[in-house]
Amino acid sequence: MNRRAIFRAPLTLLMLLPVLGAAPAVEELPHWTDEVEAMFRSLPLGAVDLSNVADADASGGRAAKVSRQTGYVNSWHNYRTLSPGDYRATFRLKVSDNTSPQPIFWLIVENANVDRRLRANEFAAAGKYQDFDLPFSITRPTLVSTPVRGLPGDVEGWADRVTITMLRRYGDRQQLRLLGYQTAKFTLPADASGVLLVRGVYHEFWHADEAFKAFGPQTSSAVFAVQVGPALRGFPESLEALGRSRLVVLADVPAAALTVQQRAMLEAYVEGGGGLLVLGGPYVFGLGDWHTSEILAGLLPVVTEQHYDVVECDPPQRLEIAPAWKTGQAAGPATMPVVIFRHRLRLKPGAEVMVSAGGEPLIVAGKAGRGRVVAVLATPLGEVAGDETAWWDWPGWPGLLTHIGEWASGKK
Amino acid sequence: MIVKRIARTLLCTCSLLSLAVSAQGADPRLWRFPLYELVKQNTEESIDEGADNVYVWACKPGMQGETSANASTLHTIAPAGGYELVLRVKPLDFHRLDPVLRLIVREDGVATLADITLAPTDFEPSGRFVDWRLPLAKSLDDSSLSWTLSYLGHASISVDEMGLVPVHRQGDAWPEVEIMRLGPAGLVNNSGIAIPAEAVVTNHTLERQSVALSVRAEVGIDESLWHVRRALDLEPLDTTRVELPSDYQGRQWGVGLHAELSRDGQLLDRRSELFAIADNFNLVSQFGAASLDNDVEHAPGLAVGYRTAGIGALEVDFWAPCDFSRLAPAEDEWISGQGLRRVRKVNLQQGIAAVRGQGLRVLTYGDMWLCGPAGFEWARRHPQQTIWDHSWYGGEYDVDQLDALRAGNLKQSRQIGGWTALTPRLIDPAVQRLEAEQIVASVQMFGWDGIRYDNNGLVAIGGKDLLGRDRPPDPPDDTDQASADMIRRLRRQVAARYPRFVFGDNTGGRFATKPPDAKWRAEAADGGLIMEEGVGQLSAEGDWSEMARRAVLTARTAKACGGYQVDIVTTLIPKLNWSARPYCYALELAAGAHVAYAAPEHAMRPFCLFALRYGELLYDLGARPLEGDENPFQTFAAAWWKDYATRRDLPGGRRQYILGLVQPPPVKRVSDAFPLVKPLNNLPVRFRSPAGERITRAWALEPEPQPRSQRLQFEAATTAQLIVPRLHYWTVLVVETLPQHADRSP
Repeated sequence: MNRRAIFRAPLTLLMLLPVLGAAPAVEELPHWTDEVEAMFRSLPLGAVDLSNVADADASGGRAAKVSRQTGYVNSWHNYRTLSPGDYRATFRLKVSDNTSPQPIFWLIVENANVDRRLRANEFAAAGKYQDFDLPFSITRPTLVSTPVRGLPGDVEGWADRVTITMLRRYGDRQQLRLLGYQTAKFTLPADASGVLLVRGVYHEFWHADEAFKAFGPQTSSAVFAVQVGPALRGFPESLEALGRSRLVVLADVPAAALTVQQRAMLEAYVEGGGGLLVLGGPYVFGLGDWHTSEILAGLLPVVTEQHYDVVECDPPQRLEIAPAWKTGQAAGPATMPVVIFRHRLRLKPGAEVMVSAGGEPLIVAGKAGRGRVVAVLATPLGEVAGDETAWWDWPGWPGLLTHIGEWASGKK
Repeated sequence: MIVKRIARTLLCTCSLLSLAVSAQGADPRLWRFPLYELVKQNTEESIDEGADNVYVWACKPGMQGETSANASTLHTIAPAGGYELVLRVKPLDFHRLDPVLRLIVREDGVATLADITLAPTDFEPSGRFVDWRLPLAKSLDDSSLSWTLSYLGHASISVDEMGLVPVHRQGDAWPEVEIMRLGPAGLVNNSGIAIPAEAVVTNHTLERQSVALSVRAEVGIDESLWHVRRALDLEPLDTTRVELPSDYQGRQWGVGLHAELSRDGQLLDRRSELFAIADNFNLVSQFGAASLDNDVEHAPGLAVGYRTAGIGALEVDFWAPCDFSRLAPAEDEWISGQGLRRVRKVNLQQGIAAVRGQGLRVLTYGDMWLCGPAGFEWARRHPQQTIWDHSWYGGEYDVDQLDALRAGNLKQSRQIGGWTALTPRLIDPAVQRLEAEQIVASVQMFGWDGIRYDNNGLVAIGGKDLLGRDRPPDPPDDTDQASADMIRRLRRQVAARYPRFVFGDNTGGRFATKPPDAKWRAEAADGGLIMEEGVGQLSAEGDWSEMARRAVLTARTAKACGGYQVDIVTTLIPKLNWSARPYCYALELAAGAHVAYAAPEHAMRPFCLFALRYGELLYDLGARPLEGDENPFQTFAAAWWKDYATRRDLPGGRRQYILGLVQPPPVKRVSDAFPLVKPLNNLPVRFRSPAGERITRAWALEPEPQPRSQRLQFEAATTAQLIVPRLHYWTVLVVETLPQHADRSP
C-alpha cells in the first residue's frame, strides 16, 4: 500500500529533469546524470558499508565500489521514460589495476537491449576515472534504466556516475518511417457528425457536453498517465472510426498521450476536412510538449516552441470577443469573464483571433488542409477574487464554445 | 442484565457440576466440544491415550476437506477478555511439516481472531493426546465465538475436543464470587494526570458473601507501587466497585495490577491486568491498523479486541479525500482519494472515539500526494504550488477514474484502479504552512494522537513552478538539510497545539547502509516513528538471521536518533506455520523495534502484553547497546544474544543490564517450515559486573504464556553465574547493579 519504496529510486533524478524550452531551431537536447549508488545489501551490525564509499575523485564525493570484500554490487535502478531518439549512456568508472583481464563492470542500458562487459585492462590508466560510452537508439517512448553491476575480484572498481545524453530526437515523420507507417488519404465523409471528446484532467470546466449537445452523437476518450507516460483510453483505432466524428476536442491532452500513429491519423483527419479544437491546461501546448511533435505543432494556428508557455494574468484579464465572431448567444451578459492562467503563444500566418484577453490572443482559429483548427489558450487554472467571474463560471461560455465548435466542424 | 446474571449463575453451577464428574479434577474450561459429536463420521474409539472423550475425530489421508465447524452462539456468556482456545489432538506422524489442520476462529460480527494452519510438528510429540493452546482476545461481552476446523490431509491426526479457557483464571475452578473487571478504562494513559481505576467484584451466588479483596500495583520489575486491601460484603447476585489509587506521580511505562479475592483465607479468584502510562505509545505498544470509518457498529468491539490483545496504537489509512490537502473535510461523506472507499465523517469520528475510549492511540495517515478529485481541485486552484510534470507516483492520473469518483461511482473507480495523484511543491513555504494547518485541523476534527506522514519533507522535487520560474527564487543548496528544517518546523507548529502528538514516516525499504541523512534524523527525533517495510520483505531466500539483524540495525539507528523503529513484518505471518509465527514478534521486540501491523488475529497477545508491561526494557531511548567487550554477558547456550545486550542507567546509581535471549529458529530460511519449538531449560549465563559495580538483583522475564518475571539467584556480587530457567522463543534477562560502595540495596 505504501508507495514510498518504489518512489524513492527515481527521486534524486527529479531535480535533474531537463528544462525543455530552448528555441526550436537549435533545440538544446536534454541529458540526465545519476550518481551511482550501490543497492542495499544487509550487513552485519557495526560493519562498515564497503560498497558506498567516499572518493575525492568522484563528482559527488562518493562512489559505489566493488572489491573482493564487497562481493557483487548492483546499483540502484533509476528509471525514466525517454522519447524516441539516439542516445549515449556514459559510465564514469575507475579501477585499481588496468593490467588485469578480470571482468570488473557490467554496464547495462535496460530496455534498450544494450550492454557491455568491461575488463580491467580496457582502462587506459589505473586510479583515474574514465568515461565509457554505450550508444543506443529507441523508436518509441521507453522506460530506460542504466544499472551498473560490479563484479568482484582482486581488482577494485569504482563507479561514479552515469550520464544519458540525447544525441538526436526523432521527429514524428522519422518515427513513422522507422515504423513503416503508411499515411492514408482521407476525406471526411459528408455524413460525419458528432463530437469526439478526449478528456484531460479538467475537461469538465469546459462544459463541452452542454456546448456540443446539438452536434449529434458524442464519443469519448480519456487520458491516463502512468510511469511510462500518458496515453489515451478509448481513442478510435482507425481513421475510418475517427472520421465518424465531425469534430475532435482535445481537452488538455499532452502530446505524448497520442502515439505517433495516432498523431498521423489526427493529421490525416484534419487535413481531410475534420475539425479540431484544442483546449488549454497544464498538460497541453508547451506544457504538454506539443512543440516536440511536428505533426501536432503543425496543425495548430499558433506557434508552440517551448515547454513553459503559461503566464499568470495579474490582474485577471477580461475576455474580448472579436466583432466578427460575436453572435447573440455568445455575446452573453454585459460583464465578460476573466482568465487567470493562459498559454501565451504567437499566431501563425493566416490565423484569426476569435477571442482575446488583455490584448493578446486567447482563442485562435486556423486552417490545416481542408480542416479547421481552433486553439483555446485559456486554462481552467486558478481562483478569481472579488466579483470577477472566471470564464468557466460564465453563463455565456457554453454558447461561445458551441459557436467555436460550429465553425471548427464546418457547420458555419 | 438479570438474564446475564442468571446465565452466569447457571454456568457457575454447570461448571461446578462438570468439575464434580470430571476425572481431570478442576477444569477451568468455559466450554468444551468433543469433535466426534460434530463430525459424526470417521470417528474412532479412543484408547486411553489422554483423550477426554470416548470417541475422537480420526483424520486420515483421503479425508482431506472434511470440516468440523461450530457456529453456535452458546458462548455469549464468555465476557470480553483474554482466553486460550485449547485443542486436544494426537498427531500420528511427528515428522511431517505439511499442514494437517486449518483452524479459523471468528468473533461473530467483529473479526477473525485466528486463521492458522497447523502441521504435526506444531504439536508436542508425546504419542498421546496433548493440548495445543491458542491465545485469543475476545472483544465483546455479548459476542459469540465460532470456529471451523478443517482437515487438510498429508498425515493422520486425531482430534479429541476444543475448549476455551479464560487466561486470568487458568487452573482455578469457576469462582462463586468473581473479580469481573480490574484496572483503568484505558490501556495506554498519559502521564501526569489522575488515572481512575477500579476493581469490580460480583457475587454469582444466591447467598450473602463476605470476602477480602487485595489489589497490588507493580511497576518496573517487582516494584510494588501500592497495595489496597478491602473487606467486601456482597448481597446475593450483587456487584460492587472498589476504587483504586489514581495517582502515578508522573511515572511512565507499564503497570501490572494483581488482584486476589479470598473468603475465610481460601483463594476464590485472582485476576491480573496490565496497562501503561506512556505519552508516546511507542514506549510500550505495537502498531496496528484498522479502517474505523466504514463499520461503526463494530468499532467498539474492534477497539476492545485490540486492547485485549495488548496493542495500544492503531493507524487509520487512506480515509481522506486527499491525503495532503483535505485532512479535515467539510463535507459529511466522501470517497477517499487513495483508498477508494466511501467514508462518513460521523462514522470515522465515532470509530476513533471508540478506540480512544479504550485508551488506544489513533494515528492518521498523511502523504505528499494530491490525490483524488479533492487533490486535483486543490492543484487546479493552486497551480503554482503544484508539480505538474512529476513522473511516476505523484504524477500519475487517470481521467476516467477521476470522473468516476466525481460522479460518486465507487464501483467503477475501483474497477479502473490505479493511482491518481499530483505532488504539491513543498519547497513553497505557503504549502508547508498548509500542511501544518491541515494536520491541526484534522486533530481538532477527529482527535488523532499522531500521524504517519509519508514522503514528508520532500523539498528536493519541484524546482520550477508552472511558469518556469525557480520558486522560491533561491532554492536551497542542501535539500536534505532543507527537508530536515521543514520537518522540524512542521512539528513545532503542531506541537504548539498538541504537545504529545506523534509524527512518523514510512521510509519504505530504507534500512540503508549509508548513515541516516538529516531528513531521516529529523523524522526520528523527539520520539518520531520510523516505519520500515524492508525488514519484513524477505524473499524466499531470506533467512531468519538476516531478519534479526535488520531489526537490530534499524532499531538501533532509530533510537540513536531519538526515535522508534516500527517494522512491517506481519506480512510474513500468513506464509508461516504456527511454530514460526512468534518469531515475527520475538525478533522485533528483542531488537527493541515495534511490530507493524500487529493484530489480534495473529494470536500474539503474550508478546504485545510483555512489551506493554516491560516496555522500559525494550524501548527506553536512554538505554545504550553493549557490544563486544562492553557486553558483560557471556553464554554458550544455543541462543542468539550478542546483539541484544543493553544498559539502562537508573536514579540512585542503579544500572540495569538487559540481555535478550532468542532461541534460534531451527531452520535457516524464512520460507522453510519447522517443527514445534520446544523451550530450552536452565541456560547458564555468566555476568561479569563492570568495574566499580556490584550485582544486587537479577530476573528472567518471559512473555509466554503471559508476561512474568522470575527472580534469579546468584552467589558472587561481581561475577554471577545465572541460570535462565526457560527460553521458548524469547526471554529477557535483567541484572541490576549498584556502585560498589553504595550503602544500600533496593
